[in-house]
Amino acid sequence: MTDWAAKARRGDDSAFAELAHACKEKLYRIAFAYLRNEADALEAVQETVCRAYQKIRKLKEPEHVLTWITRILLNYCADEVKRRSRSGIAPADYAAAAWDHPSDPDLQAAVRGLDPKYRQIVILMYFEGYTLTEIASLLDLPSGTVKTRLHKALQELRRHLGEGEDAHG
Amino acid sequence: MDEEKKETLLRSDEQSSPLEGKLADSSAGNFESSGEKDKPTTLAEWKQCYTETPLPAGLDEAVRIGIERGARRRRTRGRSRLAAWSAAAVLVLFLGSVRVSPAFAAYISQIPGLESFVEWLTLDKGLQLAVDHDLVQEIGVSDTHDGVEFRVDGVIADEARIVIMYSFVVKTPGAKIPDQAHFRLGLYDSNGKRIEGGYAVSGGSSPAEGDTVSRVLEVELMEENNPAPQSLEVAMVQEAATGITAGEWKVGFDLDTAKFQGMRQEQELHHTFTSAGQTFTLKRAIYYPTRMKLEIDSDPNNRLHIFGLTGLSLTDEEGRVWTTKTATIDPDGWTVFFESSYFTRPKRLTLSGLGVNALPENERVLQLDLDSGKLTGGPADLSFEGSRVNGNDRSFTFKMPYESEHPIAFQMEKVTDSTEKAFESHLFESHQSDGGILEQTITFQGGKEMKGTLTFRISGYPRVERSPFTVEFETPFP
Repeated sequence: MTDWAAKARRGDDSAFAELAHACKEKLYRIAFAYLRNEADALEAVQETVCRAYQKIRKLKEPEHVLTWITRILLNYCADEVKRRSRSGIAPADYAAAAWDHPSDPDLQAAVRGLDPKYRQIVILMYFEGYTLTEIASLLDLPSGTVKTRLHKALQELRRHLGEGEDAHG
Repeated sequence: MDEEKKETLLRSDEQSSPLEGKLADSSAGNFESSGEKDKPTTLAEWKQCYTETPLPAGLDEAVRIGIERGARRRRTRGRSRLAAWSAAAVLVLFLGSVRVSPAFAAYISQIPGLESFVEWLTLDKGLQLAVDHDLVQEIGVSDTHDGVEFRVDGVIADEARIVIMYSFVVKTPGAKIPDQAHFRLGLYDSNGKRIEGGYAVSGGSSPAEGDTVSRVLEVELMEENNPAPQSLEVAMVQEAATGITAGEWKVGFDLDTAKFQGMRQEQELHHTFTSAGQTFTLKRAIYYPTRMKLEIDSDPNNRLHIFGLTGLSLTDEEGRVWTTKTATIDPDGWTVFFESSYFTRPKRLTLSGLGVNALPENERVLQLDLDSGKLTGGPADLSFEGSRVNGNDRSFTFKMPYESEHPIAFQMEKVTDSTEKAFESHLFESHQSDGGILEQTITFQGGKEMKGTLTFRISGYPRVERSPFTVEFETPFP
């Protein structure tokens, strides 16, 4: 991916296409987790690829291209959510996101109850494998804050799950 | 962060909850480090659900449209500059360097469908010569729906550029030629595989009103993409804001690449020249049948920030003038495209220009207080006329002196506000008054949210330091 990024930065469009296809699934999943419906997530991927293409020549570190492009996506998603809440468009149905419905009812409750900002960190770190430093850079947060949020996320998950377990057991 | 630290983070918060094991196990499962694989774990289950998010069929399409949209925007952003260059070229052309060979006009008029392009082709001597050398291909394929026919009449191509001549014709009275048109172009290699990138498309803007319109679309192939594709598919699409296709006309045809294969001559040049005290290097020339490329570098030690060179043209030893139509600008320098002298094989060419379009570095940055409307920094002859919120965007209007001889746009691509939030411009509108004043409005996306003092950086300004220059070089032609 670093190779493609380096080539794309020098204006090689086929390398850029390879790069975009290599990230598309990851970008889509993250966008879907954020925007919660297929059409919006697709538009997010499309716009992210477009912005990345426009800016690829300004990419400083090809080895960090994945973080760079994810950041473009997250910025877009954040703006989109803000735009929608301002214009009064209701967020898409929660139920639309199938992965929010683990079959374990405890976990389902826990996931649903998780604050979106914690959920995001769990997704980026545990599901998509970004490092703490990368997440800090992605979200423009000090790494201490990311650590705290991660902690809280896990605590909250445990709390929910704990309650669930207690109720069952 | 490495796996070990993740583990530590997860386990650092030791509690005596009955679930501790559950979560810890799940984390271990996620990181594939250890744990009982046969026992389903909850966080792992969540991860599995997440990883199995169904991928929609339109994902590849989204990537493709994204790339095309990006190429178009990158192109559009440079267009005010491109437009300035081509306007300059047109000016030079009207000074009298065009002569249409009657034989040429007669020939092209005989080709069915191509008669409407005579006038356009005569604007470019290089293209006329390409037609004279049998590089034109008659196509004549069309697609009709909703009462409107889209027809590709002919193509002129070489290894770096494909010029597509097309028409829209109203077939059913009352039908309308689509407005707000975008072209989507599909290029295919010899195996029928779609080429995803490596080309840029220009032309094909919204057709004028009327029952027939004939236009030209130019496909610029990047060097890496050579050789030219053997088949083309041209789609005319109406694209809604969300990227959803509303209507589409599509035709496909083969390109006879044998006509122009190997027609390319490249030459390394290292000619240094100065204008207005600034140093430039003429780096490389590439000769193609339909046009010529010159690469020019600006010395990084130049005192001024250079936006471009103005009034460029090439003259050969017999006094024939080759004008420039477009230029692209990279951080490292410019590529300027000229009419092609490929078929006339000149021995010597002289590049001449009128001066440098530039600003001193310290005049490139300006600040605007949104509350008071006070402008600080920037060029002394720039004035701020007002700002307006349109929907989510905000636009700013400025005035500055302008010479019609040097049609150059005022441009600012980015602005940051007091909260360090950056906004990008996406719309430029300019209005030129008789008194040599240019009024330009620049709109920034999402600018409604701007707060406090704004900092702009100028990326194009119509100031020219007049300082004519010439550079002569030998061509590689025997």
